Amino acid sequence: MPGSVSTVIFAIKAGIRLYQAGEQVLVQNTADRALPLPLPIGEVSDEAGAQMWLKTNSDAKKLSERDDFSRLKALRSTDTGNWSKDDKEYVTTVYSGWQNDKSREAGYVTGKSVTTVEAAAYIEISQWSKTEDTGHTTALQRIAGTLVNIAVDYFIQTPGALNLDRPEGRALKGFLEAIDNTDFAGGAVESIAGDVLLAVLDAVKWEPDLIGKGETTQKFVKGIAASLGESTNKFLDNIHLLPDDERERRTAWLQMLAHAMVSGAANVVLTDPEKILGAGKEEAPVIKEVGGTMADLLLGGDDAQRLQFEALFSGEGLNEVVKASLKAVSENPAILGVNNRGLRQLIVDVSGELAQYDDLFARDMGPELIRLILEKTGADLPLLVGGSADNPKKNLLVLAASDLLANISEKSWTGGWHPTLTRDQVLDVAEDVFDEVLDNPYWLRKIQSVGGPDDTPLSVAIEAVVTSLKNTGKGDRLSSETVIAAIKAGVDAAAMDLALLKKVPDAAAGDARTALTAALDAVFDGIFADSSTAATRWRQAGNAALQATVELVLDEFAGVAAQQGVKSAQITRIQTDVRQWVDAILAGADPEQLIHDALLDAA
Amino acid sequence: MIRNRMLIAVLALVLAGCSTIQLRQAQDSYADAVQIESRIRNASDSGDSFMDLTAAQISYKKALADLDKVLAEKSGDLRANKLLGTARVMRALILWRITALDFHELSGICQKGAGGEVVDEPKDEMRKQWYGDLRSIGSDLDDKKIFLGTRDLTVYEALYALYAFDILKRINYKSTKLDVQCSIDWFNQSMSHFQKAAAIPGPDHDIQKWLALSNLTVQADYSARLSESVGIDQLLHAGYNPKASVLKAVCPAQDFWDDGEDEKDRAFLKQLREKAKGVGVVLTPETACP
Repeated sequence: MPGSVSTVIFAIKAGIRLYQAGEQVLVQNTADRALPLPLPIGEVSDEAGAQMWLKTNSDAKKLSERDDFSRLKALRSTDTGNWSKDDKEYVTTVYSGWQNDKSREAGYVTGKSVTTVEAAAYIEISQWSKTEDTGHTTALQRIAGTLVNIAVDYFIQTPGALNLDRPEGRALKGFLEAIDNTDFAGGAVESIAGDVLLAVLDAVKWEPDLIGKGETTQKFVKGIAASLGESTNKFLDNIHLLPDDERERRTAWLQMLAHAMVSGAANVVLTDPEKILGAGKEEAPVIKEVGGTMADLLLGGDDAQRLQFEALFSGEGLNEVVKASLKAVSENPAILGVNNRGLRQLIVDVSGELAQYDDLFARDMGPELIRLILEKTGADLPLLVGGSADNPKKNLLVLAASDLLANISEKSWTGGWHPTLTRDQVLDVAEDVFDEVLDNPYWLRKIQSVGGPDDTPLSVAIEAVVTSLKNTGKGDRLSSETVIAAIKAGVDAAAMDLALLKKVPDAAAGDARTALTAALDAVFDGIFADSSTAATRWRQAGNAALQATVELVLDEFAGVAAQQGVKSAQITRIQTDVRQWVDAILAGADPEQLIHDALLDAA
Repeated sequence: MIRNRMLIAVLALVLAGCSTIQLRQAQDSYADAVQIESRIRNASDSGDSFMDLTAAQISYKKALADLDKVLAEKSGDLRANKLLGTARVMRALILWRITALDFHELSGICQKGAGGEVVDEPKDEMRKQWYGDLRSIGSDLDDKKIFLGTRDLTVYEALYALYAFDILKRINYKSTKLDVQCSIDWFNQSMSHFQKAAAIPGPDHDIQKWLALSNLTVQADYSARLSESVGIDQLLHAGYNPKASVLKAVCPAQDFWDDGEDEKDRAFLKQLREKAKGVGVVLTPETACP
């Protein structure tokens, strides 16, 4: 939204007008509001019914004239106050038989069953009937005057805009048509209508190409108005009864969602309107579902979840997630999942994962991580997601992110040193990991020969690299770029040959390490072993050379291991030759062949 | 965000202490009380528990207190917003429920005045308020001091019928001093007010369902009380025709009773049938209305 003083003042005026209109709507809604009317408590007596029947019913009279019902005849002429108990029971029995006969005659035996309507001792009654002419107004009519004032203010600021040949004019027309068809709950419409209008007008102001054709305008605005209308009905009904802070919170988030939906959809609408607006459909289903999902997350659920999502969607987060979701869902609507719970579940899972970490990188990476997962998920949906509506399966990429974060977060590094990773670095390695998962989904399945009972090849690979980085004892000399490069190289190498994740004997440590850890240890040991020259060598090598060395060594190690198997001699050879390879790199040579030959020779 | 905060501040100023909001809160309290009463009555009907409506009475009293507060402090605002009538009819409704949930008999009900007319002034405080409210609403309506929507106007008229029913329920029918004619007068008053009430809304207004069921409840309950005590003959001699009275009760709601696919309509018909049986009338979907 533009931040000029005039626009802010205009927006404030618009809001005040809408809320004043809202008060009138509230009054009307209170007068019209349905109220429950209790039914009086009363007894229904078969005996009384039988007495009434015998005394007044023509069938009873006929019956009593039959010889076999002479007792009825006698009772008919006797004051009911003088009937004996037995008389009452007799007449009640005859009455009951007559009722059954009568019902059968009418083809109405006992009535069809009534199973789903719960008997209540009251009826909910509105002030007016549906057809009554009481000055009932639509949402548009209720706020029409106010909206006109707002629109006039807007168009005064933007001379010439009130013209259907101009984008703003068409947007306004689309908005008014859309909101007129949206069934807002009483008292809710004024809370959001102005914001949607402003968001639409802002969007077309900054993206005039957005509103190119009449139909696109109408569908785009209608989709957004419908989506926000549903959410408004759901979460802002009776808004005036909410506590101040809750009212402010809900309204603010829906306003932000309105802006995010318009700006997030703008690009996609410009690129491929049919994808997001839905060819041949009345409303824009993608916009509707994505908007509904976001509103549910922000305004539904319990307090703990809402706080989690508010953290995720703060700043530019909401815009990013909405934009990524609209793009991904428009390209692959199946991302919404069964009963549209897929997208929701993905966001719930990612925010749940990130909530576990205090790391700097975790604070603002949620939206980007969601975008990345949505993009990659679109590439192979059946592989990555599934499950039922009630129990959607966790997206494999969320599981991969979980493995990654668990191994690189600050709390996974014991001891003094840990790398300070940035959001972009973590996203960089996450993308690499996601690509590996897409190529090799088995990376997230338990494999008997790799790791412990809860480990996956991916978690073992990341842990193997991290273990080696810890083992160096020289972590403070490693840049965060080197750490990320090592993790990526380790994951890539293990993807090439899973044997790198199996344990190899470690004579020095007296314990077994994975081959990947052993190879990386060999690289670091080789470089840092001679403490007197290590610092000098380190200065010479720098992180760039070290990264190149790690990448080359692990790549060649995996290649040779895939052909010849993992051998301890290769590890030893890495340790003894690594300085030579670093020197070659520093001299500008590519020691790839050199490394390959040395490792092959050792194998 | 600046815009947001200002909007909320303005809204808070506009709506703080707003009479409309206070009335809505009283409406909510009333609706809660109705729900509580319904739950207790349903549990009792299904045999799950003895009907102890004390909790419902307490809830209605809370609703009354909420409503009285806004009526005492903001009746001017309510009148300006044409909500005063809605509030006052709801007060009469609440008083009806508070008295209806008190199952004690009343003494001296069918005393007659000097001219032989039935004295209809109630003796206890709640009933005095209830009846007083109804009369005062009627007077203000005549003077156009208040406005009532269709539902509220119908409820206002029906509450007279229910007031008469309340009296019928509290007569000691086993008393030898019972003046049956007095009770028949109250019954006829009830029927008369129900008919006036049914003429107010159109046939498609939901309130016709409530009127029909309430009317049949009164007929069935009164018949039951008479049949258990003095018998029904005097009522019949006074001109009561069960079938005609049942039709007068149910026909205005004919739009809503049907044995078709709509379960709500079928459920409504079932309720009507059960109550009509209490006065010796069998209702079917084909029952012809005049």
